[in-house]
Amino acid sequence: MRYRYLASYLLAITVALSAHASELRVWQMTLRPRTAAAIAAQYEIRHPGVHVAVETLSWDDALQKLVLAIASHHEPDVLELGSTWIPQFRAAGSLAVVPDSDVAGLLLTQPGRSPRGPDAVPWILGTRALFVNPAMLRAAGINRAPRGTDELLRDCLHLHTIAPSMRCIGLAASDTYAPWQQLLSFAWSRNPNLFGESINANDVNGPEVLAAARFYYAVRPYALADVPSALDGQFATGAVPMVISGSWLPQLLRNTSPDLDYEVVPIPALTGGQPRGFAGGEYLAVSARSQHKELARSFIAFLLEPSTLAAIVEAQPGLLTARRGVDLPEDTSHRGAATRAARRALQSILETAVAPPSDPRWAAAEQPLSSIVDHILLEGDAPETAVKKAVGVLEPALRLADYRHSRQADDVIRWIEGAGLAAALLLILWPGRKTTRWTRLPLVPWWVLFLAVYLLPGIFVFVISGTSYDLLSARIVFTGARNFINLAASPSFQHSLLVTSIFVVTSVPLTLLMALSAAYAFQKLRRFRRIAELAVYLPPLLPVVVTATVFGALFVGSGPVDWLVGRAGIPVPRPSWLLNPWAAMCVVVVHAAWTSFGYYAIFFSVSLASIPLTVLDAVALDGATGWLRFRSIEWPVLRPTVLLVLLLHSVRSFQVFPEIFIMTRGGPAGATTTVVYQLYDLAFRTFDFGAASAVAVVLMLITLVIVFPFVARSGRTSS
Amino acid sequence: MTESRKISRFWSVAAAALIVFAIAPVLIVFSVSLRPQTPMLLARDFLPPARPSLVSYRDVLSEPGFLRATLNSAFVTLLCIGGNIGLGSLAAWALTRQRGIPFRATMFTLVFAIALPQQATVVPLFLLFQRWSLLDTFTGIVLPGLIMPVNVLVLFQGMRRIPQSLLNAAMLDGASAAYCFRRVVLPLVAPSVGVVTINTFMASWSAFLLPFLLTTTAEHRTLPVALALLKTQDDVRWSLVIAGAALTALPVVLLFALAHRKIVSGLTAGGIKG
Repeated sequence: MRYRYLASYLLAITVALSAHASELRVWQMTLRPRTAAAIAAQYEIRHPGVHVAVETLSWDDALQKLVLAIASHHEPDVLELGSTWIPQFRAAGSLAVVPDSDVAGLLLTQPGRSPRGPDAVPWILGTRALFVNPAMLRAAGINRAPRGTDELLRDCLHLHTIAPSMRCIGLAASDTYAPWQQLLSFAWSRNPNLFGESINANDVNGPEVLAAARFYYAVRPYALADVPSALDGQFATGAVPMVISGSWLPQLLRNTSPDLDYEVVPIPALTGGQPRGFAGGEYLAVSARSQHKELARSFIAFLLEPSTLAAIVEAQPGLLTARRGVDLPEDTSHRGAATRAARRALQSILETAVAPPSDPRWAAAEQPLSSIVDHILLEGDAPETAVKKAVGVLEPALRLADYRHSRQADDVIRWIEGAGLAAALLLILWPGRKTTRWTRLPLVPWWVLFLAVYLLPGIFVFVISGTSYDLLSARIVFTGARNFINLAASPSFQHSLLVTSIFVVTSVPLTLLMALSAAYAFQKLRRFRRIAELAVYLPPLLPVVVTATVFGALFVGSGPVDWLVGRAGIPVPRPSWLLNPWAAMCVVVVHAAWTSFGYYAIFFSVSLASIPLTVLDAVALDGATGWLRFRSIEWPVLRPTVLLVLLLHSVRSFQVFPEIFIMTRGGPAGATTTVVYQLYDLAFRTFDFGAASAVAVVLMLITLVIVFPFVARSGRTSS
Repeated sequence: MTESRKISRFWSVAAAALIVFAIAPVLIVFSVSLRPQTPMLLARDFLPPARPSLVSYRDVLSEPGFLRATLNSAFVTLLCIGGNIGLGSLAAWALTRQRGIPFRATMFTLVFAIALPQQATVVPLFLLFQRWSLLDTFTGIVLPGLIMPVNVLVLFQGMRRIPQSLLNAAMLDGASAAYCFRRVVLPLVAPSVGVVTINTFMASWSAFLLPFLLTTTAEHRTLPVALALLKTQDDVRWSLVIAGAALTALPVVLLFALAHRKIVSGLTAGGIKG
C-alpha cells in the first residue's frame, strides 16, 4: 500500500517534469514584469501552442543567476546579456550562433559577433552623453554647449571666476562601471580603435588614455566627483550645470524635474579628436543547450520587430533600441517634446559610439580602469602616477584572467576523483583474512557515498583554495598562497573575523548561563517540571529557517518587541532592530541563545540528576545551602559537561549562517557579516571560489583547533 | 527558613521567565498564522485572533511552488530516513566485523567528517556536483543527507554490544548472514534505529544550506528554501511568511508531542545538533 503511494508520487513528478515540452523560457532584466507579460502574450497569439515563460531578474543578481543556471545546465532558452558579459559566456561556449540575417540592419552588432558568426543580438542600447543646463550657462554668458575639452575647460574656468563655490561638471567616481565608460569616451575621441580586439596593459599606458587622464587632472578643480546616481540628482535639482550621464537620465528628469530645460550633446572630444560615446547595451542570445533554438530565434526576431520595439519604448520611454527609427509617439507637451529631443540626440550619438573590445578578460579590467579616475579626482594623483598605478593592478589581473595559462578544471577534478576511487578500492582490497574481507562488502555502498559527499569535498577544498577558479568557463589557474595573502590583507575578512568573535564571545556565555539556570531551576520545581522541560526543549528542534523567520517577525519595526521595550521605558533602536548595526547583532545573539539553551539544558539536567540523593541529604544535614552547595557538590559534577557544551557551542557559533542570511543578510552595513556569510558571499555572489575556499580552510582550521582535544578523546573511546 | 524560601521563589521566577522566553515565540507564530490578514505585523497583530481562520495557510500553499516544496521536503526526508537506516546499519554492522587498518581508517575519517563544518565544503561539493550533473536535481539534494556520519556512529555503538555468542547460536541454527542481520541484529539495535530516525528526520526536514545552494529552480526547492525565499522577497507579505513558518514547524511540533521522551534521549545520544 505504502509503495503504491510512493510510486504515484514519483509518477506525478515525472508528469510535471515533462508537461512543459513546448515552453520557451526567457530571462530578462530590462522590461518590467507587466510589459514583458504583455509582449509574451502577443507572441503567443501569433504562435499558438507555444508558452513563453518570462522571468524578470533584478540587475543586482542577474549575472549571478545566469552563471549558476548555466553551471547547473538549467539555463533558459533566451537570455538577456549586458554587452560586457557576452565575451565570458562566449568563451565558455554557452551561446548558440545565429544566422547573419538575424542581425541585419541593427546598430552595434560588433560586440555580439564571435569568430563563428553572430551569437548575441543587440536589443536595447545605451550610451553616455554630456547633459547641459543651458539656462545656467547663459546666466554666466556662455551661449553654447562645449564641443571640445579645451572649450569645456575654458567654460569651467569662466564659471569658476563668476561663482567660485559652484562646480561646473559632474564626473562619475567610486563606481566600477561609470568612471571607465566616461574616461574611455574621452580617450576614444582620439582613437576609436584604441584597444582593437583585446585589451592589453600597453594600450592603457598609451597616449590616448594618458591624454584623457590629463584632462581629468585639469578639470579636477571645477569638477564634482560622486557616484552616478548622486550626480544625476545634482543635475536634476540644478546644482551643477553639466553632467556626463547615460540614456536613462531623460526619463528620470521627466519624472523628477519636469520643468528643467536641458540639452544633450556628445561628450566633448580631446584636442584633435572627434566626439565619441561609450556604447553598451542589452543583447539577446539563444543558449547553446536550448532544446528550442528555432523558437528562441523567432522570439528574438519578434522582440526586434519595429512594432514590438515601439510598444516597449511607449511603455518604458527611457529605452533606446538597436533598430533605427523607433521613436516615442507624438507628444506635443513641453515634457514630451524635451524627452523626444533627448532621445533623438542620444540615438545619433549611438551611431558613432564605440563599444569596448570583446575580450573575456574585460571584466577584470573594469575596476583598474575606473581607479584611474578615482586616483585623479578623489586622491589628486598626477595623471601619469594614476595611470601607472592602474596598469600595475591591471597587468596581474589580466594575466590571471588569461585563459592561455589556465587548465581545464575537469582535469583537476579528475585527479580528485581518481584519488577517491583509489581510496575506495584500497579499503575494499586491503589485505586481511578472507572471511573479514567478505564482511567489508556491506560497507561499500555507504563508503562510496561517504567519499563522494564528505571526504572528497573535504580534500578538494584545500586544492581550490590555492587556485583562481572561473565557474563559467570551468577554467582553473594555480595561484599558490595568493588567496590566503589577499585574505590576510583584506579588511572585509578581518571585519568578518571580528564580527564572528563578537558573536561567539557574547552568545556562548549567555547561552551557557541560561542553560545552567534552566537545568538548576527545573530541579527545584515540584509540579510542572515535565511541562517546563518540554517547553524549553522545543525551540532547539525547530528548523533554523523557522526560528530565524519568527525572530525577524518579532523584531520588525513597531512590532511586539518594540512595544514591550517601549513599555519598559527603554529607547527603541533606530531605524529598527534589524537595521541598526548593534541592535541587529543583539537580535542574532538572542536568537542563538533561544535556539540552543534548551538543548544544553538537557545535558546539565542529566549531570545534575546523576548526583545521588544521599549525598545531597548529607550535605543538607551539614547545613550547606545555596552557593556553598553549588561550589562543593554540583560544580565538580557539572564541570566536564560545561566544558563539553562550551566546545560544542563555540564550534556551532563559528559556523552560524542560515539565521544571518534570513534575518539580516549580513547587514546592516556588514555589522553581522560572519565568516561563513563572507564565504557564501565570495562563493555564490561574486563566484570567487578560490577566495571562498581559502575562507573555508581558515574556518576548518579554527574548528579543528577548538575540537581537537574532543576528537582525540572520542577517537580513543570508540576504538 | 525564609532565606531558603526566598531562594526557591527566585528559582521559580527564573524558571517561569525561561519557559516564557522559550515558548512564547512559538505560540505567537501559531496564533498569528490563524489571523486572516496581517500585512503589516504591528504589535496588536500578535494577540490571539478573535476569529481564527486558515486563510493564510491556504494562501501560502497556493503561492507558486510552495505546495511543491512541501511535497519535495516530505519526499527527501523519507528517502534520507530510509538511506540512513539501510546504508548506515549495513555500514555499522560491517564496521563491527573489521580490525586493523580498514577499521581505524574508516573510524578516523568518520570522526573527521563529523568535526568538519559542512559550510567549509559547500564550494567543492558544488563543483563536484556540477561535474556529475547533480546540480538542481533530486539526487543532488538527497545524497548529502543520505549518509550522515553521526548515525553510523550511533548504530555502531549499539551493535558492538551484541554478544558474538548470540550470533554464533543463530548461525548454528542455519541462519544466513543476511537473515541474521535482519532478524537478530536490527531488532536488537531498535533503540539506536529510533534515534537515527529522529535525528535524520530533524536534520533533513530542517536542512537549509545545501538544498539552498544546490538548487536553482522552484521544481527542486525544499520547504525551508521556499520559506527563506518568501521571507527575503523585497515586499515581505508577513501573513504568508508566518503561515509558511508555522507549516514548516508543524511536523516537528507534532513529532515532538508524540515522541518527546525518545527525542530528548536521542538528542544527547546523537551528540551533535544538526
